[in-house]
Amino acid sequence: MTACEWNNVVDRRDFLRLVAGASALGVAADWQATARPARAAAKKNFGGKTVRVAASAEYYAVAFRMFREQVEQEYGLKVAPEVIPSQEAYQRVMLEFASRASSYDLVMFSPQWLADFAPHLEPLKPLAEAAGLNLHLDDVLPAFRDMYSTWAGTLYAMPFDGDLHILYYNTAAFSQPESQKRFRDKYGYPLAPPQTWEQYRDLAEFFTGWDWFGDGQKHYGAADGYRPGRTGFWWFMGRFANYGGVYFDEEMRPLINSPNGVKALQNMVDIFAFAPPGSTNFGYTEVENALVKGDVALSTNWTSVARVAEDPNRSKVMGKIGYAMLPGTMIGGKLHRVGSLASGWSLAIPKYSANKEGAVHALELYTRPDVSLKISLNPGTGVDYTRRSSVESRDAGAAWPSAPKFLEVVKASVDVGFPAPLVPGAEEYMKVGGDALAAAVAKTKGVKQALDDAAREWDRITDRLGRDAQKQLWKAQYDAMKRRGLTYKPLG
Amino acid sequence: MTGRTAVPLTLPSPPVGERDHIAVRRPPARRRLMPWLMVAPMLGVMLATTLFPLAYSLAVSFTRYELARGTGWEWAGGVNYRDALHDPRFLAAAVQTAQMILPALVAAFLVGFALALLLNGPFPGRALFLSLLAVPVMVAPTAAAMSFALMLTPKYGAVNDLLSMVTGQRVMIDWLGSPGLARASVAGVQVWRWAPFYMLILLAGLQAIPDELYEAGRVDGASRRQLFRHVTLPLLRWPALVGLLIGFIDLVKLFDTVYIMTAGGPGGSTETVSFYTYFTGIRFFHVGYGAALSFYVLIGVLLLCVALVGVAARREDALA
Repeated sequence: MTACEWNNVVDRRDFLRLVAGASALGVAADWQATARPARAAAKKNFGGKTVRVAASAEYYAVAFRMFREQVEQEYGLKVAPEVIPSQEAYQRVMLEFASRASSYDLVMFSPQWLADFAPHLEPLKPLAEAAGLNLHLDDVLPAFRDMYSTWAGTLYAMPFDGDLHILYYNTAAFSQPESQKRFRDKYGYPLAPPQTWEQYRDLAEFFTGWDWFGDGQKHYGAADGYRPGRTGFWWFMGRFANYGGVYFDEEMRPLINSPNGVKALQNMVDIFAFAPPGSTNFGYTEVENALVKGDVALSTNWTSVARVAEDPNRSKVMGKIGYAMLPGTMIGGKLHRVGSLASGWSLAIPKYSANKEGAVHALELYTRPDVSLKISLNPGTGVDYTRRSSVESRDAGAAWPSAPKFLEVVKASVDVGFPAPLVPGAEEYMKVGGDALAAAVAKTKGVKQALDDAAREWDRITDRLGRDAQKQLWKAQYDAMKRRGLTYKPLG
Repeated sequence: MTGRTAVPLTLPSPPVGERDHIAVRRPPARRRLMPWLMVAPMLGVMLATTLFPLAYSLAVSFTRYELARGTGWEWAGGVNYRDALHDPRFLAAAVQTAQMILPALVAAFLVGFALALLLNGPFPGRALFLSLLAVPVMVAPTAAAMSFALMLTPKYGAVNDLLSMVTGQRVMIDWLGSPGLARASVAGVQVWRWAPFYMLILLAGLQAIPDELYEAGRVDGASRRQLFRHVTLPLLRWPALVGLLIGFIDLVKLFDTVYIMTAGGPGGSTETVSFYTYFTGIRFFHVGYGAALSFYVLIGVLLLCVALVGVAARREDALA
């Protein structure tokens, strides 16, 4: 547009209007510019106070270090993560709590300890409200928010690492036409990722002892965790839940040795025959290695394995891994299939912290939607998604080519996620359950015998902790589970 | 009375008539207290670090103290001790501990003794061999357990690789996968750890035997076998006994190797009394019950040690 054209279009009055409008915009922009620093100034500055964080693994400490500068810039807080190995975390933190003390302002813990820890934790909502902080609770995936962060109706923690077990399968094993034909001939149904644990067993058997990967070596069917104690229990829990089991009946009588438990454990024992050597001692890392080195066709493990499988420096199966929910079971003619909320890690503030206000500010920042997403996208952190905005984000979907499918599986699994036992003493109940699995797999006991013994030990734990109190607390957990559609499904 | 007669020796000689009177006079209080004051710091440390914890845990063992529940000291009498005798896992752990440590102790002793006999004579490079063979004693048990856990991995472990090279075919033994092999593997690591200790202690014993005894035996026409049986073995009795006691007491505490290599598995087959007591008392905070379990272990060790010393002493008397 020339000056003449401009003169034709804009008369003097219009020009004055434009100038007035521009001036108004300028004033508004100036107000915004001044308002912004004013709001920033309203943020609390802690003048270099330290927030000591108990991180349960080095890769979690990496996550805390990622945003250390931001915490310092925004709140004047120094974040000091200290690594406590996850296997020691429960007793290290609990020992301090028992003496009414804490060396940490933020503790990371596995949600099955929430009942034990709750009396020593600060309720989060009043702290956050007093500080004027928004924890964006509506954005937290409901299963993590309702079952893993809240105890007796009070929010004590924010989910930090949203763990769950899913199924992984090597697509190379499933794609060969000759294999597909042989499988159909042998088992009478098409070769495809398993819908049920019985199919998982068939597939594990089929893929054991021959080179379906094309690297000149014999491979195995399936890798799962069988290590005694809590580790093995996570794998048992996925089977048990999908066979329709729950931990106790309404009267707090153990159901671990119910027909559901027996079938679940029998399935694990059967599949153990098709697992790589050394599986009796397999936990997260060993199961992950078996999958990403191409040793096995199938595996169930935590969601963080997906990123490792797509890491060219660590994986031989990049671009070859498919994902699905854990297999289920046909009960009453319908497929019962649930997710397994295996562990996870949450952040909470001990009552005994000397810097609760600083801690809640740091907690708010580390669990903020954008920060949470960036932490989860960093392969060095091992942190899984806890927020709906994360699993629906474009960045998460673009992380690797098959990430959208992975995210679908994560969402579907969390929506019907089956929780760990959350009553006091959960750690001990779980160890006993995991030990029963290990005994059955090692054949030091039969399946039924191992579970009957475990049930007796569960009763002993319940009696020691006080049957009536435990019954009430289990009822609270079971009611929460029922509200999410997770009830006992008798197998008869 | 010998104690009292010793007192005048440290005092100036009194007149003859007063000597008996002075001999029975007690030294001043300050002087009597001095020896106690001198050892008081050490006694204080011992009381604080040994006797007090022992008395405290004995008292706790008679309570229902649950640290995680904050129950406090609720008197339970002998319930914890009675329950322990009916606890199948504790009893199984006791049997399994014996199954692992007794063969390990015997094997380590024999290997150590053989090495000590080999190293007793002079040969080139003896000092180097001795130093290298003593390395396992210097390795932290946790580090050793982690190394062995890796070496015993079926697919990528050094042990199976070595066997594959020797046999010329792919060996894939799951060393920690079955109860028998897992117990043998844990025991094997203990042999590796303890054999050098016995080698050192028995070598020191061998070096302390005077050559004159062997020369006298040879003059009397004793064969090498007779010298070994009637000179070497009797004179090694006490070093061997001390070594066996130290080894036994340490092995009863077997924990780190099991914790790292097998986590008590497979199927609880390598669960030791220390491992079970740790989980009960420290991991799950059943402090009263855990204390009772540890006292059973202590009593067991004490009884066996007393029996071992008694047997050795009787043999000594018989020889004398």
